[in-house]
Amino acid sequence: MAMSTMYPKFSTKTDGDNIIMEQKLLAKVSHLVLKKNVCTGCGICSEACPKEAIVLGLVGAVRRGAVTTEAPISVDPAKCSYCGVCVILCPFNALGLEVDGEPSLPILEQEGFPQYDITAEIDESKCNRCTICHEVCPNDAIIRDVPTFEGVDAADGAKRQAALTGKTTFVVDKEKCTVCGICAALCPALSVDRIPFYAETAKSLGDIVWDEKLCNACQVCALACPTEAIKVERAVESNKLPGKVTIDVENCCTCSWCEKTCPTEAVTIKKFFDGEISFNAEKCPAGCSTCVEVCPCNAIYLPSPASAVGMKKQKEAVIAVNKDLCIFCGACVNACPSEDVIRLKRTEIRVKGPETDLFKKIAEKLYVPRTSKVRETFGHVEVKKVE
Amino acid sequence: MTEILIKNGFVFDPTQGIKGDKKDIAVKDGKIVDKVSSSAKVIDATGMTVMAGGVDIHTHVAGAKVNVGRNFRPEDKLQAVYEPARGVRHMSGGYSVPTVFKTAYKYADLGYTTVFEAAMPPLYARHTHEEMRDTPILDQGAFPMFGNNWFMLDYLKNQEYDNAAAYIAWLLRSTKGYGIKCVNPGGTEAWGWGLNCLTVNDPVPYFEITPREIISGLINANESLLLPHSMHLHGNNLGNPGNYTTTLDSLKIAEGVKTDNKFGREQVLHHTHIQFHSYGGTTWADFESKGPEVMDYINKNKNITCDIGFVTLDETTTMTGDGPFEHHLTALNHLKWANTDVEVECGSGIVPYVYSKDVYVCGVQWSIGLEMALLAKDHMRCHLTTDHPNAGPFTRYPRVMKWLMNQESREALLHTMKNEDKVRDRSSLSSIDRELTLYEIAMMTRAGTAKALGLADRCGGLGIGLQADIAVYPFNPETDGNDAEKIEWAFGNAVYLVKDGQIIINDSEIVSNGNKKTYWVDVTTNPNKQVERDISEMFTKYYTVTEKNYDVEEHAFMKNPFVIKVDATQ
Repeated sequence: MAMSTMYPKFSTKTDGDNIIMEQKLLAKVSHLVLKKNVCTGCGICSEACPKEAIVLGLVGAVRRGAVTTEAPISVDPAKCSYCGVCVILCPFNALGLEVDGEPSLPILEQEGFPQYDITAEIDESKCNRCTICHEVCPNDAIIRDVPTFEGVDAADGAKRQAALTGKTTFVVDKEKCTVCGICAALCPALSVDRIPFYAETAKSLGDIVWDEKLCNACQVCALACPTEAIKVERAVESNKLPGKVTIDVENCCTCSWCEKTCPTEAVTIKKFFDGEISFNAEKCPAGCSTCVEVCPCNAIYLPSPASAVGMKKQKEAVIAVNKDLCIFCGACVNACPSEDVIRLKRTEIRVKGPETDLFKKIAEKLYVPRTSKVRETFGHVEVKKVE
Repeated sequence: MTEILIKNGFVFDPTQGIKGDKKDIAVKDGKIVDKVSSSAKVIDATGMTVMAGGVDIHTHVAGAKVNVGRNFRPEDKLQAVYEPARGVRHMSGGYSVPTVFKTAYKYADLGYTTVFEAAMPPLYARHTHEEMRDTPILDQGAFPMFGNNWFMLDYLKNQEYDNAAAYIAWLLRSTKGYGIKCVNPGGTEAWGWGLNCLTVNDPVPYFEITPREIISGLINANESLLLPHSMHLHGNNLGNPGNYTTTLDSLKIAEGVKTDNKFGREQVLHHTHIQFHSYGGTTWADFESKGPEVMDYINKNKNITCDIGFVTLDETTTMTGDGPFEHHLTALNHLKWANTDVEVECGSGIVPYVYSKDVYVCGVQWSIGLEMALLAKDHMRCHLTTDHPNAGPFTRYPRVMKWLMNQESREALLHTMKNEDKVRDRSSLSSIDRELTLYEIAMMTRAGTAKALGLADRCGGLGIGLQADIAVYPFNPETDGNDAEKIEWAFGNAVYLVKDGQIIINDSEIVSNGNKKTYWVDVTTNPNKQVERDISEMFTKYYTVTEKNYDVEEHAFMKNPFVIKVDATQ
């Protein structure tokens, strides 16, 4: 190696699930870090890169796990200027920039580029802490900070009566109570404060002691009491589960699955892209489902076959998309091995911050309508411009 | 070829109106001739009955489902002692589903020389032909099934009748088939999804065509192709109480349709095993015969023929292209069930069945068949079959003849039935004293069937110039009169059988495996690029075999193919 190439020095190394592109100067080291398992192959970074240092590779194969040694994209560490535009525009938080080992985005600090303007909120007053958004989110971006309860998620979870706020009353009719001890033998919330047995009286005497914190108003003591001396009542003030459900905006891709499925309409999502997507199922060869598997929003589906008597000379389409769930990221177009099946057109990018010339130039590239094509340069994804 | 003179027999030949006259029949070079030289071999038929070789219009004797029946019923062989090879005979066995050799020998004993395989799945045509090739003696032909074929369902739904006809011509040529068979139209395709079509108006899933449109389309295609045989129908809703209305609906589809073929055939629709389609009542509890209603309709409509499908009261094996019916049957009797769905084309099922005279339903089924045959006004249009082996093995034909010809034998059997009163109550059989004559039997078994098949110029009669297929039975109409047991014995034990001028049975002994031939129909139609494209596309996309491997090659799969050429170009 010639001496002249010693500095700057470029390299790519893999560290677990991270691929690190390195530029080493005499006094400064820049890293572009790609989380290869987080990358969706959407290609926004590739289109945005001012230095054209990023290319798309085996999007479908990597995302399906058929190829484990590569990432959906590859970055040329020597072409890369470590500007951080890709980091800012990656919708999935798969890229990071570090200078001398510390996260750093000078371009943002110097107000040289805007950021996505994402709205992803949960109205706490409407949210009832149900489990739907947490289960439906394709990116684990829902933080459901709600206690786990006994016997369900964890053996040592919170007592389930703690899920409710209210008042429980426990009354023992002293006239009827024989201090027999059955209730205390059944329930951890009850104990007998017994007056020691004494020959002088030769009677069972004492009090039943009740701990509200342990009582879940189950009524077993009242029903088991042989003399019907116990009365338990509960007045519930709030059945809202404790805790809080929020969205981790860093990981949210604004697909809006949570918004669509929330039973109390507590979620507000505003996508960072607007656009149009259409599937031409007639041209899909079927039996591939790569688009279904790469879609980071689970927006693409194989339509269910109709029942035998329900077909009426119609066969279901081989592929379809739910436009409400699509974020127009483009991974499907990149991965589709066929021609003209998926057409994607972005019409708006919502950003906050200075819309600089660089941003406008990049936005124009992102707005170009595209579809997939069959013949492309080996090893690189190319899409076809349409319209 | 040799000359033969069959002397002095009592001849029954409805094609010439001969009703038991003592006549000599002369044979030369395989044909029936006026007279022969003095060097002819003389067969003395004195005191015996002479008829043309029998022609069976509907029997399951070759192909995929027959062989599944043989395979999955090893116990069937327990019902009949296996016969070792002897003379020209190969080893043979099986009772309700006999081996190919036994099929031939038994038919020969019955005096039959022509036998039509009733249901050939086109994809498995090679299997059918290989079994027919190995069946000696008998002239055969096979009907490919069209009633659930995707091409037909599409063409007929779209009213593309030219395309339908061109496709039928192609399929007959590819499969070396003889005519258009239609089994449970639409219903067997529906069975591909576990469903059925029980009336002529039930649409087929996805295809949205009704059995009515299929039947009508196939009849019209058959007539436009000028085929020798008519559309051969096994209707919807077989074997269910109350199905006679479906049967009448199906038969009415032929109303007003005329035929114009060169084969002497007068019908446009042949309804097979009509006994199974003439049931009244709503359940098996109120089950009753509607045979008279159905036969009354057939009597009045000259463009329809039928065969009966007589129940013989045996343990037998049912096998049909009607997949859903067979499943229905196994659910009723809990006996083993085999099913084959054939890609793009058809389906089938097989279930053993015991027709016991002690079960009243079986007794009524037995009555319905006889009742219908006895109420028929024209036996040229009402044929003797057992839908072998569905209603019973063909070896019982002589027994059926006995019942038809002898009322006492019917009464005697009725009398031994456990539910005698109920059986008598549910059909009109015991009030019918008609006894068919040998002349009428000859109509039902050779003259009528040969005519319906469009083969009247070849077989089914003893006229001059016809193929010399002649059976001589040890039955003397003058002295044996109406001896029931003699009828059954005599018509199952031909003393002489001549086929194509060759002696097959000589003095009650099979002496030759004959020189069987296989009929098929080659129709020329106008070239049709659309159908050619559709066939290519279907083979590329949907068939597991290639188009090139589909054809039944005559030289490889057939013995003595006999082509009937038809010109249907316009």
